[in-house]
Amino acid sequence: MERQALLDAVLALCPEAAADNAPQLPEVKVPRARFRALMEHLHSDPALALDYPMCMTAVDWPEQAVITCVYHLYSFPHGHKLVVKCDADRSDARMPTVSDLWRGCEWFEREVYDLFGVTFEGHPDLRRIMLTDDWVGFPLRKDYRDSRIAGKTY
Amino acid sequence: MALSPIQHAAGVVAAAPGGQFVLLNVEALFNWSRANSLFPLTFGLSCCAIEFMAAGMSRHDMARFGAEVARATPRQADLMIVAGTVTEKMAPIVRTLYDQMPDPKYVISMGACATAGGPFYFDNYSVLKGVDQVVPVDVYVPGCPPRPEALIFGIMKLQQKIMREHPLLGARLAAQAAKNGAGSAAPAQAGA
Repeated sequence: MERQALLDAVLALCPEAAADNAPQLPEVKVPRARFRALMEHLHSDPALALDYPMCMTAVDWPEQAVITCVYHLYSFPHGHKLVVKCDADRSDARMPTVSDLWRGCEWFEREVYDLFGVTFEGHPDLRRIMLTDDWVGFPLRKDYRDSRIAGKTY
Repeated sequence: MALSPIQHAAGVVAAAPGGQFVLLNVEALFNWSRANSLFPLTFGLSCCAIEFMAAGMSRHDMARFGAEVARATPRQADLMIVAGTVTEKMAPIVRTLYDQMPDPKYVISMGACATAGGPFYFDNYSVLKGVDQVVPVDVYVPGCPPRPEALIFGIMKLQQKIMREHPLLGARLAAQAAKNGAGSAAPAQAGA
């Protein structure tokens, strides 16, 4: 599916979403209340068939007090890509899990939990994946401080 | 402390006339054989490991210095070349590998990361600021990554260091002390 047609199809599914035909990949930003329903559609709709999660990450925005979760999805049948973004509240970071739709997201969500402290509700086994189990804090949050950090922090 | 068979034999030799001279030559033989058959542990943590591999291949050929037999188990290795970035999570594993190596054992810290945390020193939460925080290091090789020549130079420095060791010093000193003790006790007996 062409980029604009893909964005139009997503907007038809979820009119609240904000679409952006960004230079690299087409993006949609979804309100949290509509996120889970949209992801289910993206996964199961045969015209979209976004069946592969290429990458998942998050961005910490302290000024806006949100953590934006970013999902990069790919469709093997159609060969198109889509980025879905969704904000979680920074003080109480919670997101619905999509690990039941894409099994690959199980480890991605553990990674985002490990480094950003986003709790994925419904995740079967949410624990740290890369840092040690007894680690305190979430290092990729901008306000993370640590005795190991020698110089300037951001 | 229980003496090993070698220490016991060295003590017997040291007590004999001219024994100290013999032991100095035996020490030189020990050092020569140790320095020229360093078995490195097959072990790489990041890009420095590529240079370590290159040092072992035919162009640079670490075998010329007797250090090419990279062992796949710490039980058979006596040189640990820490080639790469040691993370906080990897540090206890590096320490376990070091503890599993038999004595005498040596450590070369290869590259900026293993020496001082490298480019990750500044504001990183996950990287150890130098492998010398968990294992004792004999030779530091600077570079990012060091070229194979630099690693081989580090191995040659380690060989020079090994050649200056005195592996039988304890047994020699014990024998000397026993002789001196016997010598000082003899006049007292004569006086009595």
